[in-house]
Amino acid sequence: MYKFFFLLSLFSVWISAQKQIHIQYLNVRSTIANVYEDLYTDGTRVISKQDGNIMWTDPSFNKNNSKGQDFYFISTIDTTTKDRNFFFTTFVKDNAEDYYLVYDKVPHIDWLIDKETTKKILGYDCIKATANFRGSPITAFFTKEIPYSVGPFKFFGLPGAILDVRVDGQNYDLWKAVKVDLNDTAKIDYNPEFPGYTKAKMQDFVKLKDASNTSFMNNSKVAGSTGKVATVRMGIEKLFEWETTP
Amino acid sequence: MKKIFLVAAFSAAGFMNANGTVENKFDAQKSTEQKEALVAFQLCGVMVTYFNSQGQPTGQTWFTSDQPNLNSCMAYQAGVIADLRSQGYNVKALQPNSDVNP
Repeated sequence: MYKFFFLLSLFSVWISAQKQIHIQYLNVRSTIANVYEDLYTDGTRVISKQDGNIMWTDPSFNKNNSKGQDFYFISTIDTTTKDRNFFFTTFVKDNAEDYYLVYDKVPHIDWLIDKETTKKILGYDCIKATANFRGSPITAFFTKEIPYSVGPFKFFGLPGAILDVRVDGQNYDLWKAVKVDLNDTAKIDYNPEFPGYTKAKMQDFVKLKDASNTSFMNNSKVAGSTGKVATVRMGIEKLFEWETTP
Repeated sequence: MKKIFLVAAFSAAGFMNANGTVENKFDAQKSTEQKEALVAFQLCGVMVTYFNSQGQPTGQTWFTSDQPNLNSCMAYQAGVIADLRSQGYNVKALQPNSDVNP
């Protein structure tokens, strides 16, 4: 009898774990732009899309009222390794239709879980966790009630879905869940094709991006001024695992 | 080829030492030929953050110039903004952003 209930409960967990869930985040991308990011997972495959419809803090930034670029982050939940393989879409040169599909093996994120600090997000009990993600100190809140080790952007590695994650001390570079659907029925293509995109490994892509940004800023001169490039890495990823200084 | 001027630049202005003043010190002990005019200049700067067309920050450049006083520095900073605008940038002074969920 006990065996029956044990198997039944195991089956229930398995069924619930195979449901497709959808988490929508509000991503404060920068001091001037916000976007929605929609994450879908079936328990194994994960795809997250940052929507190209940018919500600008100042409407004058989008005079043409045009849609921006969607950015995809695709991965697979693999419990046999602590790293996670991501493929994401991006570009090197702005406004140049210079699109890339980048392979990024994101190393294990060394989370420090603080079980004593909790809060409710969208009705879910969430636990605080902190880590350093590629040079940025981050704080996340995850819930074990959604038993998928997923998060927006390239965040992963917690025993539950991340519903809130942000860089410490900033009011941007943050993701906050605004909707959770545990029974999502949308038909999702977890392996979309990106024809025309240049494929690159992360290390090569970072070199290209740094060089492109540096070149762009070096070409921006102001008469009577001495211009010095302060940094070309303004996002979360400031320091990569293969380098000691940015 | 798309127009590239969707990029916005923001500026955060600052004078390195707002208490700086112009000094003309003449050493009365020296002869006329030996008098030295010492004019103190302060470093005046504008930090410009560049954003791409997707609203992502792409880098920061620190524009500087020696200026004798705060008024000159402010005029210089306005000049930097005007120069960037003339190049096609949409320039806004950096405003503190209110958190969506503090």
